[in-house]
Amino acid sequence: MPGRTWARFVRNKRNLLGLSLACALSLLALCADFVASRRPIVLWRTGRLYLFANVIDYRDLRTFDATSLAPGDWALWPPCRHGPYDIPRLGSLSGPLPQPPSPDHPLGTDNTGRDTLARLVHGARVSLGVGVVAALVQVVIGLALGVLAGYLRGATDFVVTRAAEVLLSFPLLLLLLAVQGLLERTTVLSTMAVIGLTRWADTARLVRAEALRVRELPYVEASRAFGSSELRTLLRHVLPNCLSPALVAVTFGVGSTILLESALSFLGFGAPEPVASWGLLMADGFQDILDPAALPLVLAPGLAIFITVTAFNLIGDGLREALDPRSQGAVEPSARIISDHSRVMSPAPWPPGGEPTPAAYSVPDVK
Amino acid sequence: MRRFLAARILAALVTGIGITLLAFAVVRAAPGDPLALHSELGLRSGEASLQQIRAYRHSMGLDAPLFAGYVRWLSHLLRGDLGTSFRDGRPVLSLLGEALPVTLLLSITSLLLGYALAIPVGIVSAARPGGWLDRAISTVVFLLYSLPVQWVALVLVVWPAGFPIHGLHSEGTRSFADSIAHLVLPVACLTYGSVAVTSRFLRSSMLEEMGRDYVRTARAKGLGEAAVILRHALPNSSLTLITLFGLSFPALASGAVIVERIFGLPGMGKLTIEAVLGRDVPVLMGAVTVAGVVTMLGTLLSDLLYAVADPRISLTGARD
Repeated sequence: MPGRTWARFVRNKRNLLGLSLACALSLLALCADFVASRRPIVLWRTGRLYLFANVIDYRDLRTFDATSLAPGDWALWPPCRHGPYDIPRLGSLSGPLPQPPSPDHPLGTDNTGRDTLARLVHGARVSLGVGVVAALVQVVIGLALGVLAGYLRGATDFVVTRAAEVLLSFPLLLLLLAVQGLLERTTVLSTMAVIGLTRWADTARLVRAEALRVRELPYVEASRAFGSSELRTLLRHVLPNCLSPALVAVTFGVGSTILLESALSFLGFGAPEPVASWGLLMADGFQDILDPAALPLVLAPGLAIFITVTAFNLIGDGLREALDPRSQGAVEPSARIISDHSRVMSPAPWPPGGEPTPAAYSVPDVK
Repeated sequence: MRRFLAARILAALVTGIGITLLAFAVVRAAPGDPLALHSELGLRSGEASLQQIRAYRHSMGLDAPLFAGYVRWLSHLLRGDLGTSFRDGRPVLSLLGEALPVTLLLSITSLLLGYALAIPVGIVSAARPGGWLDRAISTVVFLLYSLPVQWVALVLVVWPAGFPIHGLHSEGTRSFADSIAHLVLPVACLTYGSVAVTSRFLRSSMLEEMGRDYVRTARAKGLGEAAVILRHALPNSSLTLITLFGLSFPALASGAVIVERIFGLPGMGKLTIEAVLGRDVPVLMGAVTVAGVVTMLGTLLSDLLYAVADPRISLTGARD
């Protein structure tokens, strides 16, 4: 079954585009230090070899910079020779900050002189990290609560659906602002946790709808008839068959979480200074919005977010089609099978601001 | 119908209690007691006196155990007493009364505008599914989902479009045209997202209707395609737009927070940010509660409208 889903997934070129973009971005995030760093990757200086000086903090390289290379020394530099946190010495500055793009700073600098390109590259780490971790947290919680609610019904169902409705009733950004604002200080970790803990409601609703359907299927009945315990039926039969909406929710979740994180950081309640986060970069640019030199600082992070979110949404869309061939586009519209199930699966993702998801837009069951 | 109404309103009440409980718990559970921190900062800058804070803590149940405190706070809330701001001593209710209309003006304008734009787009793409126009629209809409609001807003600020980029009206003028001009860019930022969602939603719901028997019957009796779409498929699929209307509110309010920040509009988002920064707990609790309750009322309203528009729904009971 996974093989067939995969075959359906790779048949569409758009899905592959999304997947390769996402892989490339993840690679960039992992190797950020090899793309933008103040110190060379390999350095041969005064008869000593320093390997991976960009990631390992050698004590005698603390004060090293490009000008201290003597003749006979040798260095392998990353493409961008600035770190994300490097503030230039006052004496070395020429012209006002933020600096416009120049050969040394291809995208200019921010108003403390930090290189925009380096911050952009390292920002991929924060944005993707928060996106992936928070989406996973959200989906694990949503999956567990959704399956329990759909399978057990009754009081559990009531509590979970009401709790989900309460969370979905809040403008998420306002709620996150309040929570993050009341923490003593926000960190990348707290941003992940807070987003993950408040966003599970959509996933729970999706999974619950699926569990409600699955629990009535013959194989679940058969499992019970064979005398399996409730727990075994739940774990062996119901849960695995509710995984597909959760899988779709993870990929769409990464995209919307990245949007949410960037919005939070932009407002100053996400990743703290001086962490390089795409939202924070835009906030830095916003301070000098009327200065044309700050233009790359405003525009580039937005494009990076746009590309990343598009990549994950493409994957999510492709997965949804591959897992549920009845949903939009996979078959001739005239031959569409009308089912509540496909209705729950079909509507598209959410608007910017990172909110309602397929579940939130699902149509009420009309029977 | 009456049973459905009762069930739906009861569910809304439960949700309402949940919202207030969450708002209360968030402020209560925040580490580093915001009030203790505030008293320190506040005394230094002369914002709130220790006495004022103690009085507030007592009246709002922040010094009582969780549940007793919540009940006390709720009873104040129900009487419309949300306390007074620590910063300027004004009643929270009047602060909210000033901020909420701004956010509602933004969200409702962009909601209506979004529908007005999305319906033709949805019809056009559902009319020839898979055609070049449909594919082009789908691609654009798909890309719109991934655009961060703050980026679009910043681009509009930088773009020399000639529209004012700050505040609700220019200094000294109060003309209607001036206010409209100030709303153009913020509303544009909020609208593109709802156009994307709504048109996509209408498209899939129309495609579903187009596959049904009554559409085949309409075609079979020789009705033109335009009449089939506009007179038969559209009215039936527009039912789902009613549900969408309620569900769009939270997203719009979230978007409004960013838009208000960038365009300097005095709405709920700005109020909340300032309350958080100033650790103005009464305002913060009030803002979070009101935002939740208003959104919940929006959802309730759309559910009730849906039940009125589609009699089938009230037979099967409330949706989950």
